[in-house]
Amino acid sequence: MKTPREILFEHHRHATPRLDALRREVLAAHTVPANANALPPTRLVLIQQVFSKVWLELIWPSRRAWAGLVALWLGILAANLQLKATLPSAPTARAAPAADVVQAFAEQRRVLAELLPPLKPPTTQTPRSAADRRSQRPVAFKCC
Amino acid sequence: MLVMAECNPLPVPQARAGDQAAWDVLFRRYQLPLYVYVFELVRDEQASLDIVQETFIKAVRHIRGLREDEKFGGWLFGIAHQRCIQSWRKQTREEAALEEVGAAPAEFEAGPDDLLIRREHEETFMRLLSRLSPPQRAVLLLHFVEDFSIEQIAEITRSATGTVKSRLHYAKRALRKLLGEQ
Repeated sequence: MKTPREILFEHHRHATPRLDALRREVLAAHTVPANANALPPTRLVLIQQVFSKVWLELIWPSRRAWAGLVALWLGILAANLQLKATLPSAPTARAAPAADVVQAFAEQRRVLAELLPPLKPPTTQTPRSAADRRSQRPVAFKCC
Repeated sequence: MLVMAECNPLPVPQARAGDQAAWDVLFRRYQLPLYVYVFELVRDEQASLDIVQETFIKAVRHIRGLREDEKFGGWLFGIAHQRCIQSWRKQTREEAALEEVGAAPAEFEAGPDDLLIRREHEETFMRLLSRLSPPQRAVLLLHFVEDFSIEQIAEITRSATGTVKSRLHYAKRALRKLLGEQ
């Protein structure tokens, strides 16, 4: 009497050599021998390891929470973009008074120019004569 | 004969670290059980070898995704099972309709060795096994080959535990019935 497991294994034992060959092939092509592992890891490998660690430890266990946060941020971004799309009238409303002010200012300057006479050129002072000089005047001494 | 209880823990952490020798140990341990399982599902030698090879390659590539080392065996069979399902889909779709679905039995036969087969019935057993529907065969093989628990089989086949219990119960009953008729 045999168990089903024994029968199944005996029935397929002939495949063992092919499975051995297959195993060796996979090991050679997809794994690294132990002595090769002794080499110092390159920067790229280190970065990959860090990302892998972060992914497995932080993100993957709580992927629903992260997905929720991403959805929330996308919602905020969409709302922000939508708000920006509805805002273009605001800057033009602000620009209109500025144009009015400029125009009024120009008008005031024009009126001011019309009202005020043109400025006289500054009068040139004639050089003082020697007689005008205090030092050249005759000094009258007062008697005590 | 394969001893189910592992004396030494499998070198899964070493394999995860990229140790080739550890992978060799793991592959040696599982190559024949995986092949038996896959062959009995797809019934094609070359396709079975291809699936085992793909399973090994996927295991090496995705070992970092395995979070519980003690579940390595179930995880490996899960990879193979998904590949077998793809193969079934290619082959036939109507076989699933043959599946005998019933309520989960109240009591469940515990061990895989409760069914003992006489030498003269060995070939008949192998033939009868192939006559079961693929879902029933898958559950029965996982039970026979690796003595996986109901929960482990449910994880591997991505089914509910009730469904697994039901399939196993009806598969064993069908097998007994067929063996009794011989």
